[in-house]
Amino acid sequence: MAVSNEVRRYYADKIFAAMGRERAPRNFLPMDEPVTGRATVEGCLGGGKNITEFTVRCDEARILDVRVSCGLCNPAMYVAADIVVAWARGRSLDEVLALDPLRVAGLEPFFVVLGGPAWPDDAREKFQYALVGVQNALRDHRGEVAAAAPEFDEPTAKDWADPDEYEHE
Amino acid sequence: MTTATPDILELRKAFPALQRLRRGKPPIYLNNTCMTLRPQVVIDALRRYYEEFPTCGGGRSEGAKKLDNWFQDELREHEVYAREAAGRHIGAGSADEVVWTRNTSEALNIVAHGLKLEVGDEILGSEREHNSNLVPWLEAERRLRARAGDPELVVRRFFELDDDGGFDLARALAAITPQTKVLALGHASNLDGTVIPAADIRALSARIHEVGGVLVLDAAQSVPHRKVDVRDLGVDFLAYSIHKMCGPSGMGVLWGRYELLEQLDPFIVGGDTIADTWQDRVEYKSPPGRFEAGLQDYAGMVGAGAAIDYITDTVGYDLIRAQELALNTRLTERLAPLQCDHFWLLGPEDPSRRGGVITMTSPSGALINAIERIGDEEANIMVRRGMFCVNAYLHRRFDRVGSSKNNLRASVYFYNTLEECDAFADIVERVVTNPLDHFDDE
Repeated sequence: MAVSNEVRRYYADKIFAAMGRERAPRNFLPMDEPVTGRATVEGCLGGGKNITEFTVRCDEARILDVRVSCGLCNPAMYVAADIVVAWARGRSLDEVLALDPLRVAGLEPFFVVLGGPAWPDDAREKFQYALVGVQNALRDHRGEVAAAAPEFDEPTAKDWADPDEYEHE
Repeated sequence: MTTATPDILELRKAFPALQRLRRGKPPIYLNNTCMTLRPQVVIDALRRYYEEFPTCGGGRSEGAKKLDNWFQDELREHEVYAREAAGRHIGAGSADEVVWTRNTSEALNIVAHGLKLEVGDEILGSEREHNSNLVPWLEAERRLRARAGDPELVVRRFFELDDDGGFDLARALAAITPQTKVLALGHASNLDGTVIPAADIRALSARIHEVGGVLVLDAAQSVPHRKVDVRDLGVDFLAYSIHKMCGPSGMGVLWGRYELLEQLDPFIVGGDTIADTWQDRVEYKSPPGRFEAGLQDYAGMVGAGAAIDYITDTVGYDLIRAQELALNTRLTERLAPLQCDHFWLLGPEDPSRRGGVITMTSPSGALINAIERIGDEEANIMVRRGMFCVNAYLHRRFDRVGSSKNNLRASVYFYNTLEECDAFADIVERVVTNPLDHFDDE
């Protein structure tokens, strides 16, 4: 499917423009401080090369830092990873773990960052995978077993006027 | 109109895979660093094994020239021929110095596992070794750490390359110490094609032997492309893969100086590695048999012989080298001017220093993916993206700018043409000049 205008705009302005030979957006750079948890999620079709890795540095209650790394091929995955990581940084572990990746309405904080009234479905799917990735990194930090990532519904051209309608198939 | 020479066009006819069509177009195969295509003569050799003498080549006593039956005798004849060819074309002193393996990785594992290293010994490589020439040595390090009871013990060290990835002999020589017992180097890089010059290898050989070490050469990316002579270079072990030189998949070679092979502990053991066994002990065969456990890929051996003959006699290294240089020069001329803040080439700019490899990178995986996807969909172009098993080097060099994972490699062989290079370059140019216009259908 086509990349939504919201994703395209965010990617061009906030990510691609910040990339270069000697620079990259902060969220996509490795941490200088030791990592305390990590997890991977396969958020894109395309096989084993598309494993997105999330790393976190936490104290007992709070996320001090979180980063993402991947040979990302999809602008929507870049955008979702950037937004979810930035949102999670500084929050409490419990707050981030409380979000249900399967409930689209709960993804509102991410859609808000994307800007505009639209909730494009290509971002929805990638937000879900990115959230699972960050949550599993937190579980790793706590010494817990990672939750299996659901196979979220593939993106469509839908714009979520009523996200509570979402019913995972 | 085609600019390929008649020789190349004639050679292409021998490759069935190049005759296929998808959406009315032939394949453009630019992933030869990973694995090459196979000519009909190799396919015929494989079929010949299965159709004419599909039997077991094992179970014979050491040194036996005659086997038990008709099929085994015919297989033996082909297997001996192939082993001699696999050694002869790299200057081996004897076919007994040639061990069949599944690939270069297995060959290097045999060496890394079999050398009798002691606590205090060191292993040296460059910062850009393929995982096949890195991980076996890291495992050797792990074993020595356990033996020493020191989890921090540094056994495997590396020296840096030039800024553009070129080999620096002075740095390599300076890194060899009296403790260096293994110098394990990739002869040609699968990342950017750079080759260690023969004179440099000879100098390294002299130095490592002065300190009582051995020189192990990962020749996976050199033997298929250029004449390599183990005696002239002064190496002690050399590994290469037959499937990177038109041979059957899953066939490789470990060559070692015979007296050193005799000292190696066997790695995978069991059937056919032994001279005899008792309930409480085993007596191993002499090399190479002690390293070839269980039933082997006999079809692969027969095919390997055919592939080596094809490369050395039918094609020839002079033609391979000339064609690769012509192709990589064209790719470089087309792609180098496109370099910008979002797209650049890895390795030396001079194509004569990069064999048949050209690797491009970007901080944007989406840009790299667009090139690969459009190439596949529109022109049947097959290239490779990712980290190419040189993760450690890419992490070290490019993690800090977030671009270590976004690489795309085109690698040519003698059967590729300038037209194919242009078709690929056209797509790269289209994407790089308008990088935000190619995201649909990701």
